[in-house]
Amino acid sequence: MMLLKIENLKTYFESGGRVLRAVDNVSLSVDRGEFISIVGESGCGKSTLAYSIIRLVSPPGKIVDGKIIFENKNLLDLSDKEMKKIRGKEIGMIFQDPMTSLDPLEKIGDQMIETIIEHMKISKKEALEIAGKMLEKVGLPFNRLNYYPHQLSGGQRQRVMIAMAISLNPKLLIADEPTTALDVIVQEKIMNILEDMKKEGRAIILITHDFALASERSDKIAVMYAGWLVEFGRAKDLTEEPLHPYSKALIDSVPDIWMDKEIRPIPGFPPDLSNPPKGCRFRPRCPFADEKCEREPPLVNLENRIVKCWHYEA
Amino acid sequence: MASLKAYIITRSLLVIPTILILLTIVFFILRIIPGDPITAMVGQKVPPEVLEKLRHEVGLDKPIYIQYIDYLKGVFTGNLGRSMIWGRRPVIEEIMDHFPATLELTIFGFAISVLLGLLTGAIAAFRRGGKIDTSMRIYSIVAYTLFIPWFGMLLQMFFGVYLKLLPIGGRITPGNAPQTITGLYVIDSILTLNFNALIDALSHLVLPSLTLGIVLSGAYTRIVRNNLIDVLNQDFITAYRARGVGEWKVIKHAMKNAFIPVVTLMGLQFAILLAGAVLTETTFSWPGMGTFLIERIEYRDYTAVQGAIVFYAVFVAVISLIVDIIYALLDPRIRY
Amino acid sequence: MEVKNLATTIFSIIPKTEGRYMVMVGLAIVSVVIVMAIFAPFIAPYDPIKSSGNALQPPSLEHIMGTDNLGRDIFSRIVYGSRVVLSVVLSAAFVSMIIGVPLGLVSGYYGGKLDRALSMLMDSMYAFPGLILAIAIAAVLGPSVLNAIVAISVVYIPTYFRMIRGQTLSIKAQLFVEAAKAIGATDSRIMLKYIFPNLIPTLVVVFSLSVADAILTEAGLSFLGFIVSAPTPDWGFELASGRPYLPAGYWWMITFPGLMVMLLSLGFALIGEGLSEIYAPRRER
Repeated sequence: MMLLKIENLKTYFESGGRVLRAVDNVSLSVDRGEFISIVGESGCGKSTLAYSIIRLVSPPGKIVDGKIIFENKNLLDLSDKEMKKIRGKEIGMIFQDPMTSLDPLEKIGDQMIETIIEHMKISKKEALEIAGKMLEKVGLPFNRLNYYPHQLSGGQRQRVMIAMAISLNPKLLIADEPTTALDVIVQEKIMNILEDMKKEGRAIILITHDFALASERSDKIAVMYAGWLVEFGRAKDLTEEPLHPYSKALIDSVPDIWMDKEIRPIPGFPPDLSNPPKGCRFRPRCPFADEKCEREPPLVNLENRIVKCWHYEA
Repeated sequence: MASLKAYIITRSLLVIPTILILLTIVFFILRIIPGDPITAMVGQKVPPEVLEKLRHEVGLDKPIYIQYIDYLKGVFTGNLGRSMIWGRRPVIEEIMDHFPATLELTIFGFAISVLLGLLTGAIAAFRRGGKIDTSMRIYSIVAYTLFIPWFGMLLQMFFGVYLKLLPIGGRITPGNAPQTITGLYVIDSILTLNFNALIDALSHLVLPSLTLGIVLSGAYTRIVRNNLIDVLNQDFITAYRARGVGEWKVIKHAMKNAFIPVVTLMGLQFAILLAGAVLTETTFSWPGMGTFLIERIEYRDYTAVQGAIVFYAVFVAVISLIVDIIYALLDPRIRY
Repeated sequence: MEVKNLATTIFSIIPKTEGRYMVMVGLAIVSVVIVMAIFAPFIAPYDPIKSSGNALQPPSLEHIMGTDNLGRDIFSRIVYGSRVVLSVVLSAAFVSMIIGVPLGLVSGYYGGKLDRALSMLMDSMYAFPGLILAIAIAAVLGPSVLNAIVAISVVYIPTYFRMIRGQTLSIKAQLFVEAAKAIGATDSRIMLKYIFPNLIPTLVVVFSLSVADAILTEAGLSFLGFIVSAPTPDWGFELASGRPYLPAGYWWMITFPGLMVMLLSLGFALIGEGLSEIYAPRRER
């Protein structure tokens, strides 16, 4: 059952006469309870995509075209007031840096209660109970509600973020690189919590540059490059049989302790999004590129796979 | 909250060396002139026995280190000597006569400067990059380069002389002063329900506090603006919005966070406030510490001048202590 | 004509930030006043200390800023007054720099007890109201231009000290200083050849801003009678002289001198603010 459908989304940044096409005509869909990862290098537009969904793109960024259909409503048509009701309650977000995503001047409990009361007309006491239950879910003791953010470790703060994000039981959770600022062991714990959230029926969109992480936990993977969606499909299939040269390159660049694989970094640099190469944006770095690639490749719809490439059969 | 107490105690102890240094500086400044201060103050035409007597009274015939110890003892016991003119009253009493006037002016001036600074800084932050932002910046620079006596006199001319709307000098119409409880006319008149005095006092306060407040607000505009912009770009602000928290609440949280560094600035600005008050008082014939200082310099009242400057030093040190404590109260990261 | 070309050339060299407008305007204002001071005898139409017309005349064609209570031309007094203001303020700034900068550099570089002691002293002085400190010194020394220079320079030494010390600390932490030490450069060589050149941008900004402030301090001291006495013209002093005539509506004795104080201070402030903007552009987002 489809929960979120992004259609031809375009989010551009306009500054000083230059237009940065951060999200350029991206379409994707997420079903209820589905865990999808959006993978790509820094600057490929995946974070912008996440922020676009909840319409919190910072200026000078703007959503210029497309539809974001959430439960049969186009979020881009909603008023600010209506959108505010969706944020937190229907869609929750977890941020990358746990050090800066909590208000340093408010206690954890107060921040959580504020969110809950904003959406539900209940008493402070009841809100406090809910907050306590949420902390329990992420494995934190009740007394942390009285703590200030700086008194907790990075991993604990991230758990608080998750607890806050789920306190109103949203149907969709967007996690923007939630583990990048944490060490590997804590990372594992956080990912486990996310999986628990999925088991409770929530859809999860994980934004990450870590392909290994994505392939471990997700149902589906979407690969982004230079503002484009270049491949989208079931995680297992895509990892075993990537069709887009960039996906192939990403997989090849990931170290794998089980296989005696040669690590091959991708040559070159990601393009300038205000002046991308003509035709296929991956062309300068692609081993399969030829004259055909001087034209923008079409989005090919295969069974259970979408690829944006002329040479996916290679 | 135990750590808060610890912080207050540690911070209070730090005040002492600061005060000592300032007191020492004052001590040496007032004794660096060649010759001796009594002669310089009183003049040559006085017979030498009288000079000797005066010198002895003030203790200038003792060796310098004894003078220093006596001086410090005096300050810490509140004994600042006696005035050398008129009724020879204790200096500390004369200071206390004049201090409430300065305090009242300073409080109102400070309030205006902070409010104006917050307002202009917030407007600039929320409209950053545009013409309004630039004009706020121009306001800020023009404000702090205003020459206080000049600006005060312009206001006097306009509102006092041309429009005849407000008084141009003094603290209150003679005879209208309310019964003294705190020495602050506004509070005293409210406490004694003397609304006549209240209106009178307030009307005399308007121009001087506006002068002081506007000139000082310039420094706040920029700091408020920059801090607010930094805070608004922080992740936790986006996180609040992502949870659907109302925009006004988000602004409230942003202002709270942005305000804290401003508090530190307020502590530093306080010294400038006092200096500005001296010029304001002179311009508006306001009977406060500034007028007292200038007057006594003119009359060569050595002990009174020393007493006044010592008072300023202690006052500044105490205020900076209070500001630091307020900062600790506001920012939980310091306490825990 | 040449001025316009010169201005345009300078304008194009400076990096394209908002700051350059401020610097240009500031420089223009300051240059006008400096020219006024240097060429005073040629610019002032009348002798500033002798009566040249009827007393208390409003601005007119003969006296573009009017006359004061003794019939002296106010414009001429302002032109000559600029000499006092500039000489006091610039000399004081120079003295403050000569003392404050080396102290800050050495203190920041060596650290240790010397640094702690000096910092404590300088911080205490910095916390004390500048004008009041200047008044104390000027009161004790007696009113004169020289004493004003002493008083004002003492007030600003802590400012230079703090800024230079702070910058020294951050420059010291950079790798190239470590590298210099590693190849055996002596301390004084490091300070002079490596650290000091990097201090210059900050120094220029601090100079402009503290001169802007010093102008207000000088005007304040002058207003209170601690610098000049009649008949010498000085802007702050003019304001005090004109004050008794205010209730009677004689506005020109006060307006023009006060305006000059503000303009000159503004000029230096714009230079300082503009330069600091150019070195560290204001973030838009």
